[in-house]
Amino acid sequence: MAGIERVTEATLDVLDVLLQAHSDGRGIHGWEIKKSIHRSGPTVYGIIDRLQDAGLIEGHWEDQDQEDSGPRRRFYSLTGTGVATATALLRERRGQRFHATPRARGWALIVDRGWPP
Amino acid sequence: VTAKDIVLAIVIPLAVAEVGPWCGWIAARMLPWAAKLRYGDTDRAAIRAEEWSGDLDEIPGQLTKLAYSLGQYLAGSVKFAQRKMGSKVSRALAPPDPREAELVTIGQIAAPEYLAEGYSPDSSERQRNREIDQVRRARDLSQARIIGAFEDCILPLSSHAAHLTGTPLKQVRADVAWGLASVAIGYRNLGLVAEALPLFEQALQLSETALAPEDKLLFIRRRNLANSYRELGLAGKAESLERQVGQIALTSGSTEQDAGPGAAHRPDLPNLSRTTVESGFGLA
Repeated sequence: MAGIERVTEATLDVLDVLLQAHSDGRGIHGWEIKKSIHRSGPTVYGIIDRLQDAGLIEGHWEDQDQEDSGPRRRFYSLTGTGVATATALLRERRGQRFHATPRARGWALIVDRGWPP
Repeated sequence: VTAKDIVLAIVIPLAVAEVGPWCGWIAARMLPWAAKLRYGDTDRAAIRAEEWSGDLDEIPGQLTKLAYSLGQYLAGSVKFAQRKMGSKVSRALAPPDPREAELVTIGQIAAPEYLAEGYSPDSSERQRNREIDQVRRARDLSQARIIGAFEDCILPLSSHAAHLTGTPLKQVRADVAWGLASVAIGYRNLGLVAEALPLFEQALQLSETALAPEDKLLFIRRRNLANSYRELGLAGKAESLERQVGQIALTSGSTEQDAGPGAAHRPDLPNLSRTTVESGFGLA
């Protein structure tokens, strides 16, 4: 697939989570991706590097209050090319299993839709 | 109450309470280093260091924080090693560097003076040293892939060198041709005629553009090349060159002996020392 040299299972996991976040209309940070797919930090950030280099995702810092001096979160979201590429890749490689990550999907739903009420 | 009970009840909890916060402190300080190892001095290193520090805030235990940082540090070390190794490999596989050929050219230009200065027909010690030097330079040249670099580097660099030094281009080319021919003779004296052949060809090619048609060096170089063709069984090529050599000998009144070691002492030769050295090797 154009833009990515190696597409591993871990890459597909990350793309899946990013695609779900995209459909939920939000960005997602590295730690959240790591927790969602249960992969190690170096693996997840290595994939983020490659996706960013390929122009499939973009990152932006969270808005932070001046009083808050802690480290900022950086949120990632798929670019237009990224959405098309991720959809095509997941459909091609996972077929029926596409969207079969209830753990990640459920987590996103719970956080974003304020469930449980 | 035994000493073991005291250790279990007091010392270990105290040690854990003391070491715990240190783990978190160490973990936080390792992350910028880990990012630097992984990404070098780039903007991405600073971005990741801050991101990873944010990740640490999500991790509850101090030891777990340390484990996370250690993981990032180890991964960074691996990337660092790969980067270093990769640059070495890419350097080794890189095409010949024109600067490398430039150095060789400079060495070639310097070589005639060195050889001429060190040459003495009566000194076997000097001759031995000269042969050693030729072998050494032949080795250096083969390492520098000068044969492959001839068209791309030597010819344009000769022009460059002429421009820089204000030396006439013909003179620079004659010097480079001299160096190539010397190394070719070194190869041939070692019995490596196949290796010598392209150098003889290049020396003649350069000489034909740099020297006057009646120059004795042209005569010698054509004959050395013809001899190499013969030794390699390329009789057709050898005869063609030998015909040229014969015609030159007839028109200039030279004979084959003119180009031998004795010819060096003839007063009409353009460069006595050069002709002596080259023909001394080439017409053995």
